[in-house]
Amino acid sequence: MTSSYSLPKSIIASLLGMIVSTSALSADIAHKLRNNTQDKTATENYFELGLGVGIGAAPSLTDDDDKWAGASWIINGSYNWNGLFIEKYGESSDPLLLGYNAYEGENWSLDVVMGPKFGGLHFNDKFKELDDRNSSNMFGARLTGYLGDNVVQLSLKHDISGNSHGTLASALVGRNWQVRNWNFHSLVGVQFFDSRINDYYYGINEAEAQRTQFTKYDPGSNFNATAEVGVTYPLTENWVFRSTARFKTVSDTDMKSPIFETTRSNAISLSTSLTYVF
Amino acid sequence: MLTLLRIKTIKIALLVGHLITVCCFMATNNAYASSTDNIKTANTAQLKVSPKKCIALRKGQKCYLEVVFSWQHSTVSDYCLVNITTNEKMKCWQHQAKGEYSFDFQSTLSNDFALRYQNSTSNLAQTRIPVAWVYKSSKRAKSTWRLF
Repeated sequence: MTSSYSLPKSIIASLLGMIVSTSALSADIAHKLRNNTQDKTATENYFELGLGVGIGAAPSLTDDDDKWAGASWIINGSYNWNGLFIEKYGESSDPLLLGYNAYEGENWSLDVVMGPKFGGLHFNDKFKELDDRNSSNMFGARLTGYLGDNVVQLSLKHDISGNSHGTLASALVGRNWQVRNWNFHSLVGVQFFDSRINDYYYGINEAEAQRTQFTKYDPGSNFNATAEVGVTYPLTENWVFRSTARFKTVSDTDMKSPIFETTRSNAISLSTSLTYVF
Repeated sequence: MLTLLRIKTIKIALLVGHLITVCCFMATNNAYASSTDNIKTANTAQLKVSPKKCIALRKGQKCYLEVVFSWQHSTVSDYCLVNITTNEKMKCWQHQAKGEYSFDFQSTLSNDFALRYQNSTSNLAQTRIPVAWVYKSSKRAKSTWRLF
């Protein structure tokens, strides 16, 4: 139930979740921090709709300009039933997440999660001769710890769809603080992509290289670092204002891929939104 | 015939007399009622707070709101503004019939306030600052393993 900001087409479409989009790689830790839920709360039942605008700079698959600006609808929501939950947060890098809360302790919570990630390439004619990249279905575990004023989240997921066969890991730490009714949050972390994920989404195999202008490319694994600061303010009982600045490093492993039109060593964005909570 | 006419005239006179008496009684009553209302109005204290509602992002979070209380009473006396929820006197006025008070409200719960005579526990007028929130969440259970 999310929507990324209207990034360049290249970003909206596919792999971008991986590196180009500056959306937090944080699964729902960003949501927890934004909504001041580090006081050990379960996935809640709620739904919200809104409109967001953003500007930024990021690598692009199709545009020769790395700057972007746009607006899009925001659809956030989550539902929890006896430990089973579904999450869709605009601030998360996971477009949709199904999960089961296996353990809840005083300071730690363990979820088994599954959800689609990444996407296709055939949104642009530039890639029509390439094999399309299908979505991965990432299955794994998410461990969330509440340590003092900090929230720590570790996750390890593997593709079970058979498309990328890749593995993804992340470690994030964040905290929030309240100034009057303004709720600030900050988040830093690293994310690891193994070579299978990078190869499936950014690589060019022998057959593709022979029939297209793209050169053969076999990427290895890589780490990305991310940082985020934001603020959330309740305007009324139903209307919420948010603003977020994000920074993310982009590895050379990704930028050497011939599918990119414009490369950068990082992705940055500044976004703001207004949502109605039902 | 004359006798009959006289009797009728007397009856009419009596009837008119009764009507006048009833009218007078009603008029007196109305006057009394309106006088009572005036007294009631005069003794009615007013206590208002603005803005009215405090909005927090999440249930359980402390809510902050700069408010102004304004009160008035027909009688000059010694009054106090009291937080009924916390049972604290916030501000007192001596020999006043009205007043204002700016207050930095900070609470996780709705609070009730009242205007009282300084040495009284009776509320002359009441108002409330409701605390509302956007997200309602449930607390996690402690240390529970779930089995598949």
